[in-house]
Amino acid sequence: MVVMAAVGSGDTSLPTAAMGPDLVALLTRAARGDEAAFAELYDATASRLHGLVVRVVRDRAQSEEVTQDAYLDIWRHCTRYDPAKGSPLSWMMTIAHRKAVDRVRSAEASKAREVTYEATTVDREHDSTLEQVEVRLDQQRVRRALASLTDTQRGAVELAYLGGHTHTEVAALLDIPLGTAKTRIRDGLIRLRDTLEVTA
Amino acid sequence: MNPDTHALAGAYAVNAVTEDERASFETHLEQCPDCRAEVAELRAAAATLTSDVEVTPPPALRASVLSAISQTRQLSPLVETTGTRNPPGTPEASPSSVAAPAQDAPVVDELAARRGRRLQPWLAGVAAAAVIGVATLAWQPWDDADTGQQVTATEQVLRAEDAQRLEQPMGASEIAIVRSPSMKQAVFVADAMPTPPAGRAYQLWFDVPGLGMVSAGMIPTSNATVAVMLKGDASAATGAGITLEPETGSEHPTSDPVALFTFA
Ligand SMILES: [Zn+2]
Repeated sequence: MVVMAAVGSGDTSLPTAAMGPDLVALLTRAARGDEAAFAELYDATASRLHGLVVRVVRDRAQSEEVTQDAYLDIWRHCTRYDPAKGSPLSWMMTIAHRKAVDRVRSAEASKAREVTYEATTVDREHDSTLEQVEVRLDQQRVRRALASLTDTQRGAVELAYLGGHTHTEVAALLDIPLGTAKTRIRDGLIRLRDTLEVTA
Repeated sequence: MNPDTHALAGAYAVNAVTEDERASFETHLEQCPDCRAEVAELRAAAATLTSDVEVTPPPALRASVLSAISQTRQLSPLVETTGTRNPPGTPEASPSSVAAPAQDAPVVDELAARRGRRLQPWLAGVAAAAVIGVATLAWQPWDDADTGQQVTATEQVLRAEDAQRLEQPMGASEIAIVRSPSMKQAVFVADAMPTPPAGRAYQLWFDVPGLGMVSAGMIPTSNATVAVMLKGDASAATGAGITLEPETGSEHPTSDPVALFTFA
C-alpha cells in the first residue's frame, strides 16, 4: 500500500518509514529496462493511479484503458524522470491524470459531433464502479487539509481535478467570472499544499 | 512577467487548461523557476485529493501492462554534457555514429543536450505540449528486430541509414520527425496525438528556403500510433512545422505552430 506520505516524497517533511517500497529506486531500475522493477512499481502504485483514473473517467472499461496507457507512458518516460521535479508517485499521478482528462475531453468532443451517443451506459458503469471504490479510514490529515479550504475553493478544485474540467468550464459551471475560477483553483491547491506541508 | 500568467499555475497543475493555454503557459514555465516549483508542489498537493481512493485494477490489466512494456522501447534519456546522468564512456556525438540501443549509449550533440535541459520541466511530468523549437536531435537507428518482411515506404525512411530523428513532447505524447536526406523523405511519427478541436486537424509543413511554409499533408486524427509520410522533398527543407487547421487543410498556415522542427 502506498500511504499518502509517498505523495510528498522527494520531500523530507513527511515520514518515510513504513512507506513501502522505495519508488525512486524502482523507477531508477525501471529506467534501465528492468521489467521486474517496473512490475513492483506497478504493484505499489496501481490502486492509487487507477483510483484517480476511475474518479475522473468513471466508465470502468475506459478507465482500464487509460490506466494501461498511463503505465505505458510511465515506462517509456521513466528514463527521463527527474526527482528534482517531484516524487515518483506525484509524477506518475500527473501522467495518469493527464491521460484521464484527455480521455474525457476527447469523449466529449466526439459526443459533440455524434449527438446520438447514449450516455445511459455511462451512468450504469459509474454506479458499479463506485461500489469498488474503497474508502480508507486513516485519512484524517487529508480531511483536515480539505476542511481548511473554503467551500468555494474546494468546489473549484474538485471540478477541475476530479471533474476534468478546464478553469473556463469551472467558471461556467459555478457561474463565476473567468479569472475567479482560475484564482480559486490555485488558492485552493496552495492552501492544500501548505496545510499538508507537501513539497514537490 | 504579467502576474496574470503566473495565476494559471494552479489550473495548469491540474490540467484544467485548454491546449492553447497549455502551450503558452509552458513557454512561460521555460523561464519562470517559481512557476515550475509551484506546479510541482501543487501537483503533489492535488494528488492527495484522491489519497482515500484506491481501486485495484483487475489482474488482467497488470498482465497486459507488463506484456506491453516488454515490447515497448523506452525513450532515450536526455543527456546533459556536463551532467551526472551521462554514463561513463559515452561516446562523443557524431552525426555518422550509429548508436547502440539509445538507452545505453545516447548519441546526443551538445545542442541537443542544451535543449534537453530546457525540456526538464516536462520530463519531470510537467506534461507539456510542444515547446516550440526544442526538438531533441539524435541519430536514432531503430532497434526493432528486422523481420525480413517487406517494409512500407514509411518504414524504409524510418530505417534509413542516414535517418535523423527529431523528437519533442506534445501534450503527453512524444512526436518526432524522422528524415532521410538520401531518400529525400521524412516521416512524422507520434503516439496518441492530442485530439484536435472539432472540425480541425493537424497539418504538416515543410519550411523551404525561398518558399516559406509549404504544406506537407495532414496528420490523420487517431488515438493510436501515427506514422505518416510528409509530402514533398525533405532534402530541400530546412525544417518542418505543425499547425491546427480546418479539417480540409489550408494552403498556408493560419495559426501559430504547435510544433517546430529544425533540420540539422
Ligand atoms: Zn511564473
